[in-house]
Amino acid sequence: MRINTFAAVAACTVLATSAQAQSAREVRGASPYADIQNEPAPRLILDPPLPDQLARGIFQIQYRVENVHIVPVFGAGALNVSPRIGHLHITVDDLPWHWADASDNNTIDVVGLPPGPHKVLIELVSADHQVFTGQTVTFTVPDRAK
Amino acid sequence: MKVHVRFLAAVAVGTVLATNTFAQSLKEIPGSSPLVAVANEPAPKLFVGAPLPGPLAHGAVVIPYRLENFRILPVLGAGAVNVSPRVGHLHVTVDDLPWHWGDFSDSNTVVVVGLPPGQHKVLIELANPEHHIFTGQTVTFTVPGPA
Repeated sequence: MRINTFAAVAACTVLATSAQAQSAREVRGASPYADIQNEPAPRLILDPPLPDQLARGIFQIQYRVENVHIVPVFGAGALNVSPRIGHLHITVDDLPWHWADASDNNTIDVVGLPPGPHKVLIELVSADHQVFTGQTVTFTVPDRAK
Repeated sequence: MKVHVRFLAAVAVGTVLATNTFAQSLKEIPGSSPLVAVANEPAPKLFVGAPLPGPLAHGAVVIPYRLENFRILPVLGAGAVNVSPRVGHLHVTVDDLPWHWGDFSDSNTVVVVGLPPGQHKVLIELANPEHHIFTGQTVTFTVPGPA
């Protein structure tokens, strides 16, 4: 009788796990502790800017990456690290300069842009700053006087 | 066997001496544990250095900074204002532009690349989780033209 109960509990546990939870690897990506042979190409996934924040003039955009581990590790000496490492370059409104973001915070935050159309280029780059991939986001900062 | 015990005792004494030395230096680091609230935490301090000359010669502005009484974390909002030890983040503004970005990287460095040759300035501010500014420092520098 007791054994039967345990078997039923075990079956429920397995069902619950497969129904609800994606694996850690599926959600968080590969472990940074184990090297990867033939790692797939880097990917950058951007959401639209957070709408409530944009209405207040705050540009905040969530991102996630695949096949790149974002860390503050730089230079040619880091190019052969596996799993691959890198960081972001962020450029506002086609300015000739960008800043580096190695925070892996999943959100970029720019505040105080004047009302009107703007664009932010987000590039995923290697530790030595070669661009893997990038995306430009265009958006309009509302006129808060209205 | 006796020799063995003596040897262990000597090692133990050596370890204790080493521990004392380490303990002293750890105490000198203010707010060294994020797990323990700090009563009357002193005001946050920001020390900004000049852009590192090597990268600057190549047009990369790499500005080192150091903080005291301030931890940079992606923790925001009114609910975080009273967190102890204090948390916050940086606001970084280039050349008096009306906008800034939030920097939560805590990498002791602000990096800006591609500024045109000439004089520029970068303002680094310490902001609390509600973006109120504690203090700030402007660093001015010249990006060299092509050689």
